Parts: sequence; structure tokens; C-alpha cells
Amino acid sequence: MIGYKLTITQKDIIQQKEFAPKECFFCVLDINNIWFTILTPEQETIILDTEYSWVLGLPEAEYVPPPYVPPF
Amino acid sequence: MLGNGKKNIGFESNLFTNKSDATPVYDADAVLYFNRVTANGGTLSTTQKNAVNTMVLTFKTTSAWSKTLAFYPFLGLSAATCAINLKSTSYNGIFYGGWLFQDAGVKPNGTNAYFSTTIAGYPELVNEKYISMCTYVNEFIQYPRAQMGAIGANNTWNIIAPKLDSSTVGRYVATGNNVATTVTDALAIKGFLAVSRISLANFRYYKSNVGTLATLTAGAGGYIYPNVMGAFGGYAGIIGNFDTARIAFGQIGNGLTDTEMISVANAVNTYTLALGRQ
Repeated sequence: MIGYKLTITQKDIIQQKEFAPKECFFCVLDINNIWFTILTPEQETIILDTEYSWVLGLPEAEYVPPPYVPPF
Repeated sequence: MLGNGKKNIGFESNLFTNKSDATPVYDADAVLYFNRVTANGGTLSTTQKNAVNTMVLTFKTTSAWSKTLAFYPFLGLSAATCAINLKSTSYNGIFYGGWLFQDAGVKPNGTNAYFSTTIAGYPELVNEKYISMCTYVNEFIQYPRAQMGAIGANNTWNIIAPKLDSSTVGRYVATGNNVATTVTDALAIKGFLAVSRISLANFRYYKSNVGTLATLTAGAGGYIYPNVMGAFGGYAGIIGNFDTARIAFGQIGNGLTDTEMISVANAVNTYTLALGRQ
């Protein structure tokens, strides 16, 4: 899955912030400890008209999740 | 058309007007939900309204309605409308990460998406450890992901999942109890999934697609962090185990008796069938 790569500062700016009513960013770490956010095309269309449109200009890359760790 | 000859172009009324008015009489709480969807930019078809109304009336035949904090019909094709709680203006959910809002339900991307009900066991529930929750998913849950729940502290949790140790050993659900059982269909789980705690020692687990009802002896359930759908809340509120299964309906509230949860299951199955969401 393709996502947008973020610096820690960029992650802190958007993490769990609302870009549309009841719809928020959520950033996750990849296998290399790099922050990503993954959006649908519909969400990207919405974000184009928000203060967060700069996210769509961030570098894109394949998101590879970290190894699964059982929660319990 | 209203009885005075003026068009009702916006909000619903549950009052009948005259015999020529084809608008059905809806339950007052259903009407309030319809109006909230409209106010948030959504449009509901007559089929959708009828399905919601039938479901509400069925819920109200037992105490499931009064014991539940939130029902999520996931209608309206946007986050703003799908987040709306049918039961009240409180506990509207929030969508995080990548979601699709479709006729058949809400679909998480399995990578960073979850739906927060904003409801934690404490302080929202009457008794923080007595919880009920259900989802109806119309796609198979993916191993090793989870469908719904939250983790508390000190080895406590509520989870609807298949959590597998192998292809044949694991848990359909974990509710403060980490005892593995034989699993025969954990890679083919969809439909109505629910868990309810009805006594300090016992949870009941429901998986209607194969008609099973299991009673689990359990310790404390997780109750510190909000329960989420499409994943589950981990230690210290960290969200993980993101699933891809599309969710057609969700519920969360105080513990339901067997009779009440069966009523919910029947109502939700009727709802999803009416909307072609099975």
C-alpha cells in the first residue's frame, strides 16, 4: 500500500487531526521506523481544499508494516 | 408532502398528516436519526429509513435499547454521517486513517484505519466491566487482525477477533480471558459478531453466521481506553491489529442478557439483509 512519508515534526502536526467532519489523519510507523499516513483517493480530494493540502505533496512510498507483535 | 400541501423538503416529522400522504409513520428516535443524517449532508433512501425504523422497533422490544449507548447504522456515504449514533446525540464516533464509505458499509484499509466509538468502559458504562458490543461484517476478518475492542491494563481486554496461535488454535474472542481453544473456521469469520458480559464471571460470545453461542468464563474486561472498530485499542491506548473487513453495523453498551443480544442479532441480521449488506 502506498502512503505519504512524514518527518516526526510533520507527524506531530497532523496526527489525529480532523481534516473533515469526523474524519482524522492517523499516522503509523513502518518497518524502518518511518512515519506514514495512508489516505484513500476520496480523502485526498477532500484534503486538497484544507489547510493540510501540503500532505499531498509529501514523498510517496510503499508502506511496509513492522513485524506483527501479538497484543497478548 | 405535508398535510397543509407544502412540501417537506428538509427534516422528517413522525406525525401523520392525511390519508393521501404516503410518508410512513416512523419511530421518533428513528426520525431524530434521519434528521441528524440530513443535517450532516446525507441523504437516506426510503429503503434505508424503513430498515432503520424496523431495527429500532425491534431493539425496543427488549431492554437492549435502553442498555445500549450507541448504535452505528453507517449510512450516508460520508464520515460525518456514518459516525452518527442512532441512539442519541452523544457518542458519535470518529474515523481515523484510510476509510471508504460505501453502500454496503464502512471499509477500513487494514493499515492505519480505525473507528473510535469514544466509549470506554469507565466512566461511560453503569458498571465499567459489564460491556456488550457487536459488529456485523460482510467481509472475512483477516488474520491476525481484530474486529473490535480495547485493551485495558494488567492483562485485561475486550476484543472481537480471531486471534490465532496457529491455523487451528486460538480465540474467536478474548474478554479478559486468554485461554486458547480449538478454532475451525477462524479464517472464514464474518456476519454478526458480539460479546456481552452478563455476570462478573461470564461473557457470552455470539457468531451468528454459524449459529454458535459460547459462554466464556472470564476475569476483568478492559475498560480504560475507548473501544474501537476495525482494529482494537492496545496498551496505553495504542491502536493496532488493523482489519480490512467492511463493517455494516456496530453497537456498544452495557452488558446484555442472552435474550437481549439475540434480539439485537435478529434485528441487525434483518437490517443488513434489507440493505443488501450481507
